[in-house]
Amino acid sequence: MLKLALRNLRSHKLRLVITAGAIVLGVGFVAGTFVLTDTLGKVFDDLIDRSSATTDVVVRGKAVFDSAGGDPGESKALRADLDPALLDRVRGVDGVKAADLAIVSATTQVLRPDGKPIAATGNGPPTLGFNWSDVAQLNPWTVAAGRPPRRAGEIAIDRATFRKGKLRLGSRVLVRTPTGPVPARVVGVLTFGGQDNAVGASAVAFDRATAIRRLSPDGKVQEIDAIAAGGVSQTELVARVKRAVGRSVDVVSGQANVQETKSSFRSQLRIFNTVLGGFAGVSLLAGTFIIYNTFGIIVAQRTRELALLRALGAAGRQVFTSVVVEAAVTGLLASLGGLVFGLGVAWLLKLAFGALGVDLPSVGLVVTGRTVAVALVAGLATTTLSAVVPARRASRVAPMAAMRESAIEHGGASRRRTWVAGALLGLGAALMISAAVSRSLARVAFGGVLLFFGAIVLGPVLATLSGRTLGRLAPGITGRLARENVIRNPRRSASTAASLILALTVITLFTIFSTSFGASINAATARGFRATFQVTSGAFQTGGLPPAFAEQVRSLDGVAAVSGIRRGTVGVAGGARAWFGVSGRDIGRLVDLQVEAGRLEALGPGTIAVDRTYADRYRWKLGSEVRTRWVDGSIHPLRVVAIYGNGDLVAQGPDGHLLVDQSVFDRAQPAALRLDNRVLIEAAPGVPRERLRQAIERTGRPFGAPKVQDLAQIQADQSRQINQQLAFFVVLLGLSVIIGAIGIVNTLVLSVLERTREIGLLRAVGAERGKVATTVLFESVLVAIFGTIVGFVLGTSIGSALMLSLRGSIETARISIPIPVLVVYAVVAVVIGTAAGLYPAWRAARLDVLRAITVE
Amino acid sequence: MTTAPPATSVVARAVEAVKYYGTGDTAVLALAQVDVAIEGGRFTAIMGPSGSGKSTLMHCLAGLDTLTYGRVFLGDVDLSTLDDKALTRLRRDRVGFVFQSYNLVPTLSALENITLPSTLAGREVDRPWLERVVGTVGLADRLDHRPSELSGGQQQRVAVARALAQRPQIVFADEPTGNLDSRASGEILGFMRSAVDEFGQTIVMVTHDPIAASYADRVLFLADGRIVDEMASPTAQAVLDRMKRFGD
Repeated sequence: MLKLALRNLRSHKLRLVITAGAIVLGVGFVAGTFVLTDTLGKVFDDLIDRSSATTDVVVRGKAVFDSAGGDPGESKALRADLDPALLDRVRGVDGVKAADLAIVSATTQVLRPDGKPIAATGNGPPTLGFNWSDVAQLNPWTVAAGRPPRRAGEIAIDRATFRKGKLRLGSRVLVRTPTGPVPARVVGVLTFGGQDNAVGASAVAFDRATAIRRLSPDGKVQEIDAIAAGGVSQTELVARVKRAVGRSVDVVSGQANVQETKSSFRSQLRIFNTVLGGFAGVSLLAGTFIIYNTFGIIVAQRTRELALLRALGAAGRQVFTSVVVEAAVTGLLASLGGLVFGLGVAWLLKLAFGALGVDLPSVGLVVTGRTVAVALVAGLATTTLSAVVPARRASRVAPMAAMRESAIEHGGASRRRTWVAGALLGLGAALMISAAVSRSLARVAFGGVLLFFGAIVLGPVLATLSGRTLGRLAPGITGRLARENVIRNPRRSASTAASLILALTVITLFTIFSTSFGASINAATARGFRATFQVTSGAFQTGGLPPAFAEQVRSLDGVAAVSGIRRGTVGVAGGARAWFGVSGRDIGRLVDLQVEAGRLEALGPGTIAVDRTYADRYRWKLGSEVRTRWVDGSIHPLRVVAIYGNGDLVAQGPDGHLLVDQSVFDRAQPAALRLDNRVLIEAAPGVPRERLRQAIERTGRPFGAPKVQDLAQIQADQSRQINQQLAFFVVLLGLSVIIGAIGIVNTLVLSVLERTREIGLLRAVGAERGKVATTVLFESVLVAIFGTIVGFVLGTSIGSALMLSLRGSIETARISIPIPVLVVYAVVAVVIGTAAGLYPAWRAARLDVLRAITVE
Repeated sequence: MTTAPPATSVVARAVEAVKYYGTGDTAVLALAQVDVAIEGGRFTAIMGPSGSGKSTLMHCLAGLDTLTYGRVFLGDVDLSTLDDKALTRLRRDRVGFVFQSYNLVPTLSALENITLPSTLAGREVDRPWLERVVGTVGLADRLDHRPSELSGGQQQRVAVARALAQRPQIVFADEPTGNLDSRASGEILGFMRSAVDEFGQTIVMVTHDPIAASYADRVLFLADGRIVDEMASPTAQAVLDRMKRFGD
């Protein structure tokens, strides 16, 4: 029987290729995801090794929020800065060969003459400023041209920025730093292990004194790094340095530090891997529908052959095995193909990273045993399991079936099927409705899955229905025949459309959710935004503009109120939580926080404002004392002076629970966080907007020319960002659509084969090749439209329920259905349906009339 | 046999028809210089042992297959000058087919199958004619049924009606009774006979059943790609006797 299975495969190479194709894409996506994350992991491991592998001891502040609890995702590794005077004590330790300060700023960049940074900003690679160290083991950068910075007013920069800015040695530039703009002369060009920059990160090196003064507003530093003299182990040196610097700071070995950095980066990569993996899973699932369908059709077409085997004495078990083996071999081949395809995917993604400015250095693609194992198991398991049901059906073929005249797959919708589908759909819908009422996300997810599978089970009924109705749109006898072909075997039509339904459901869900989310955010902004302008630093969440910018804007003519917004971490109620530093005096005029009790204007030293959620959760009232733990570990009680309804506009996210005046914030946070992520500005009455805007833009020029936006521009920006994200997701899901199209190709090729005689007859009695081809094309398009519509309905329902369930966290939650976008999707679906039909249509048209008629 | 209407003209003819299958050493000669003329308004049967070339001859006459050498005329049209599209149109407009395995479209009703060629051509159906044909084959109460709901004999009656409904110049029937029992065979052959007698239809039938051949006006005997004999007003016994001699 094994031989039979293999021979079946060999004699149907084309079918093998198409069927395997669906799995190749899915497995390729999975493998590509793993290869990419492993490659990125290797790139950054190398980067970390190069940056700090030669360091033997690291002295740094203690991590005070290291304990469990608090908000998930809130950085618990926040550390206080060090007094640079500690350097002398470290240097004095016996066994320390050399030691130096490490001052790093993530918001330091060389500006072009127009004030814009030369290197990219925003969520791209870091833009580093640091102190030049002459201790080669502590400094991963080397001088490629010129010399290191020696005194104030001198800098050395990475070669990529140097070239991109068309600079020369001796060029005079302006550098934005956390303390404001610094004029400087370029005296050196730096490379990082032979590369022009550090995996995309730009660099500006200062001499030590300037670095302390300019990169660190309070004169403190992040780390002191040391290397050991010969014969002194890292552990030994750590112990000695600990004795010298005392218990108030943290001392770790270079090795431990490297491991820590690597593992923290790895955990971020895991998130990335999970997200990509989710999309890969969708394509794999789409592939399983195709395997299921293909083997179902094959078994039906082969009924007579199978029955003959049974009649000749093959046991049902053997028939079962032969089908499963055939699937397993297909799956194995597809998995191997998928691995190769995955390498291609990873390579393309790597190129895409390059285009985004992250040059992944000469590391080749990393293929681990795990990647190979995951790809093989995923491909083999999905293919084999999907073939189990068709194989069972095959094993139940009665020997008598060999004698029967024809054995065309029958089957519409049985009563039981309708009941099961009804139950699934009903339960799913009930869950969705209850989710919308009770605002439970879990119920939306569960209900969505039930709804989807309900629709899949009900598929044959839906296929018949849509064949009857939609089919009328296809004109003439070709349309009539196409329609009848969709309806004649609704189970086949439905499972052909299943992968397309899956893809379209997920795409529609993302689309509805994104658009609705964007509309909700914009509505929230419109309701609560009172400022005239918002200046965005472009930095992600933390860091951004030096306080000097907001101060200068405050002194401009026609400015009525100004508040920067800084994000940081504080220990409250047993864990690390996000909090925000604002101008207590002005914030209430710039943003409507829906204050329920107290006054935001009362924010100042010793006070805090909390939102309704936290006030309820922790039973805080006006006048309550909130114990806060600051970055240096000290505890400070803050008195609640205001309780507000919604802090989303300050946080630009759901975590705006705690608000303090910047005077409090700055004392509690390390220097790197004492920067304004955004600055809100209100114009005085009667001040011409455009003139004020120009004045703000002029002020911002030495600070990296940040964007100055009014409400409409903010909203447009938000929509644009959401649309970009959506586009990214849709591209990732596009692979599932292609898999869906492959499903259509596969089914139609098999159907054309099955209908050879019928097609021959049509040709004999006068249908031209074109008519035969059109019939197949129409059928393909009908199936595609059917899948699209069901996907639309499912995606829209789930997306709407999702939005409704979010009313708890987003008050302005609304459902927005972007009809034009859906129309575009529908058009694309028709195009894909047509494209999928082309090959089968060509095969049908090409059939030799004579052979087609006389075929047995 | 009733007297056939006088043969008025030649409806189809093959001139020095040669057909090879395959090329080179493995080429098989299916037709070796066959000259044949099919007279209008008559029922011609083509007989011969398996591999004699009888099906090939019919397929070539019907424009379903092409000759290696020689020419085929349908009416005054030389089929060798036509491309695939023109051949398709010609079949649609001038030729009717009946196959051994019925060859109906399973998704269409009996009536839709009968009118399929007209529908494909975008032509109006000649209603009175259609009713007459349907009445002749006795399907009036089965027209809404799908092929799967009909017996073999009924399906073949639909196929005959489809062939006749177009009023084609010529109907080709390829072993039309091959899959039927003797009762159903008799019915089908009777319909074909009366189509010739009553409508003046020209029919060419390939068969190896002497009883079927006995319904024809004329039987052509093929062997090894050549016409070796012919018989007018055949009887089943005479045909059977002639066929037996092929074994010698």
